[in-house]
Amino acid sequence: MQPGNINNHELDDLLKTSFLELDANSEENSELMDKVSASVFAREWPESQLKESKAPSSKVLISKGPWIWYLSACLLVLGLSYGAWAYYKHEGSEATSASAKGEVPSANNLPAAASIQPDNVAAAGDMTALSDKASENNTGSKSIQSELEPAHNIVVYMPGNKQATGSEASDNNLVASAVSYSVSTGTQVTDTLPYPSPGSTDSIMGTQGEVAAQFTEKEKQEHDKNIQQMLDNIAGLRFQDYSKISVEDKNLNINTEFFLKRGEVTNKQYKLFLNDLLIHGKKIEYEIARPKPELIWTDAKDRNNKNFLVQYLKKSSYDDYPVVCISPEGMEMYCQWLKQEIEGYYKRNGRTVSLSVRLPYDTEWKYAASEGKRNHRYGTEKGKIRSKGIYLANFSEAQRKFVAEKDTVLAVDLKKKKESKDVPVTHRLSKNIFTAKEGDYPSYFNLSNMSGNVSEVVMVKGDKGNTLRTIGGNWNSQKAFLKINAPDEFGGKVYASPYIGFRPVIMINN
Amino acid sequence: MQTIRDILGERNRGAEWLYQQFGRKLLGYALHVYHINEDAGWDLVYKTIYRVIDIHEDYEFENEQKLGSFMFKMFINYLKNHLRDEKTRTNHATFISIEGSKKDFAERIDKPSQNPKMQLLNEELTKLEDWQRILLLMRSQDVSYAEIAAYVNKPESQLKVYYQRLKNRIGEAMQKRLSEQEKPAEAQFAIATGHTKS
Repeated sequence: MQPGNINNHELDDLLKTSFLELDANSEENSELMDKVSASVFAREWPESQLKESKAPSSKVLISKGPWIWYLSACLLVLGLSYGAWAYYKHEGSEATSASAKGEVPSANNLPAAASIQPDNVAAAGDMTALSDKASENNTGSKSIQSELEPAHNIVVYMPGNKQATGSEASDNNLVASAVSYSVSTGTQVTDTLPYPSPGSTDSIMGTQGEVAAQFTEKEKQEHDKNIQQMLDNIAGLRFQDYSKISVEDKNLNINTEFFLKRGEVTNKQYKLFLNDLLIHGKKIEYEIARPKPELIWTDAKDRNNKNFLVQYLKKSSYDDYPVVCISPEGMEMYCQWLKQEIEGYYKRNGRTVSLSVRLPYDTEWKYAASEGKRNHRYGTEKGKIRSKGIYLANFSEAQRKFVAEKDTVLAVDLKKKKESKDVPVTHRLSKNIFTAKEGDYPSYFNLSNMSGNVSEVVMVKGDKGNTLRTIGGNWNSQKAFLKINAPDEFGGKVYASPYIGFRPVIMINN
Repeated sequence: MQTIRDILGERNRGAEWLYQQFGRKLLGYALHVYHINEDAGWDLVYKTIYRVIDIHEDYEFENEQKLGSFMFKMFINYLKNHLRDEKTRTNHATFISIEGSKKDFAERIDKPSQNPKMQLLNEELTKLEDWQRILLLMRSQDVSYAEIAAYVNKPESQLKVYYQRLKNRIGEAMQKRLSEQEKPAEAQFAIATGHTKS
């Protein structure tokens, strides 16, 4: 073809482009577009019948360029070659495998009921972890696993910029458990930060004087009443706040059940824990566990973000929204506190119960989010991210986007909130944080907000101990990170963050 | 009876309604006419729906048709940006960058395309009569001859012939002008190398 030749096909494309570039403001073009749009909406397009679930995001990647096709083809060939090699090697081997003998496969294989083929991560571990007693992971004196990848390191907040030891622990060993938790999970402590001096930071409870303030009798009574109510909701009505999830796999002879909290731990629930620490004079524990918004967005330009975050964690209007900016140690301390409270509750009612309260394993979380089904990509009630015009999870795309260039978003949004009959479930009071309440985005097993909202901290069982990661995506995530099998958005780094929350698991030991 | 404003005022309900009324049709149109990626099509549809939800209070829609037209214009604006980003039309057009623009479709900034072929086409289109230009543009959007005939008030049976003739005419005109633009370059080459055309 001579340079500059225009064939029919090319001319068609040029005409299509020319249409897109029409100035819609001009009267004649506007009328033309009205006609075309009427034609578009009157027509039955076969492509309109496509189901949304048939559009995996991986297609977007493939369409980016031909090199992706070559890479995909190469990977496919390599995969098939390896599979064939492995198969023929197995056939020729003198050793017989367990499956050849008809025995139950090894515990390292994922059971069919709970196995989910991850897209980008390695196999998530085995479901036999469910039968482990959680207490083994939270106490003990295992040495720090020093061979972990840097991505799994965590930052531990230490009082007075020192390594807290068992001898410095308070009576109920909460501090010791926080330190030993990081040890026993096998995470390498690579950085220790001093607690911000209460008098010099935007502490959630204010200055040092406020931290040490005495609670009045009335406040203590109110607190006890709230605790009782919380326990009634959890234990009194047989774990109403928690969903019972049973995992059965007859092939692997696995039969276990656990109780997963229906929503993420809320500001109110976490404040109850913090108040309990203060009432009992546990200031060190309080400093470890309290949210630390002052460590986030320390730049002056983010002052509005930081200020809002402090309000979000403090004000009662945000009580039912997920708590954020909690360190992993704080999460663990909350779990230990909850365990003690529930066991005490049963004891007062004449029953002796031994529980494990902890962060869930990733396998547990994934099973709960997907109902054990492989084809459920997201932890939503339909396994999809959106359906029939509605977003089924709280994430970046679902957030309302405002166009104000100045910081007037707050006023505009409040105005719209008042005028709108149907208040958006994404509780936007600022451009800074948009979390949703429990129940706003339902999932399976009466759970909610499994995908999106806040990234949830889970444990990953490994040969050298457990590590922490986040899962599920958050209010600011791209939809790819909301997938159940997406990689950790934070690269294995779990820290006090406005994007990260948690939901505990309860297991009954006896 | 609920007005359109009432329906769109309820966010989730409004989104679902827009999806049912217009969303799927827009997807079909984008996939069929512009052959874009299916996943990208869904992204554009949802983007359009929620944009309309966000700004609908600033507009008055007399009826569903007006709303549909509004949505369509917004959608093709997003589609245009998407195609620019995908670079699937690099040989045909340089799309105007309005990424991050804080304005809706009605206030977008249009600049002439930088692609020489697009510029030639636009110039040739301005030389045509209105009905001829409309015929070419509407056919590019796969609108039926029957609908075009009703709009431009021409017999349907003749439109197919007109269409082909117009395309040939424009194609030849563009070809001729492109050749003329390349002549000076060829002449320079001939002078420089001592070669002449036989």
